[in-house]
Amino acid sequence: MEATGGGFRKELVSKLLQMHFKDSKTKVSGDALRLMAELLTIFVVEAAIRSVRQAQAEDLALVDVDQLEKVLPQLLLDF
Amino acid sequence: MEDDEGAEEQERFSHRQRLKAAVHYTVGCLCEDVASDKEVQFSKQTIAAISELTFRQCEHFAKDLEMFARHAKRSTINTEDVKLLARRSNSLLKYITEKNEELTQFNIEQRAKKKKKLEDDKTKSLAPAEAAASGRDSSAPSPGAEAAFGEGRQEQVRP
Repeated sequence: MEATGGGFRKELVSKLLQMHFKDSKTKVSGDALRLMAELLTIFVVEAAIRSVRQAQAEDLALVDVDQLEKVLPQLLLDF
Repeated sequence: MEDDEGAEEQERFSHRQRLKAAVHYTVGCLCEDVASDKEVQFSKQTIAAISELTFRQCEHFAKDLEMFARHAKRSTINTEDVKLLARRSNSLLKYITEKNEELTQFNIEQRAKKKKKLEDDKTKSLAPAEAAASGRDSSAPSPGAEAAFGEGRQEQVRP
């Protein structure tokens, strides 16, 4: 499945990463940037879908922070 | 002096805010896709929470990536570092590895296309140069080639 229209843009990912580098000489290759954009997209989609599954298990039509909180531990362990 | 520091602090803060806003927008789009696909709704707080979460996760990712590259005595983060980052979940690692193969394949095809175009351009421009019969260097197409290659320059992925 290709990155849909709502994927992360390379420039945004680059700036997000650059903000936290300790060494100013650290750079990211173009391919690595594309992969990171994919990774971040998956992170968001996983968070969303797992929350949805939790809400469905609880028979809710609205996905609220409570559902997100429940799926958060496993999500962070997986990433 | 203090004013300068204050201004710099403000600049950093607003830069950070702009990035957060950009992330929030992207997260919103992605959640909207999921919501319409699964026929549920996300509360605004949930989207904000996922957005904040993603923003903070970037800090971990960035620091890890920098450490991996430095460990390999490089200053440029490459795809091997990203794959190492995705090691915790098997299916995630598999997905990222597949994406990487797709990317490598795409790059090879792009380079082949550019090379072919270069050869075509060279044959086209050599003909008039010979007609002019001056000692002019046939490296005229090079600046264009430099620009094309400069853009597509990638590091070779060493396993």
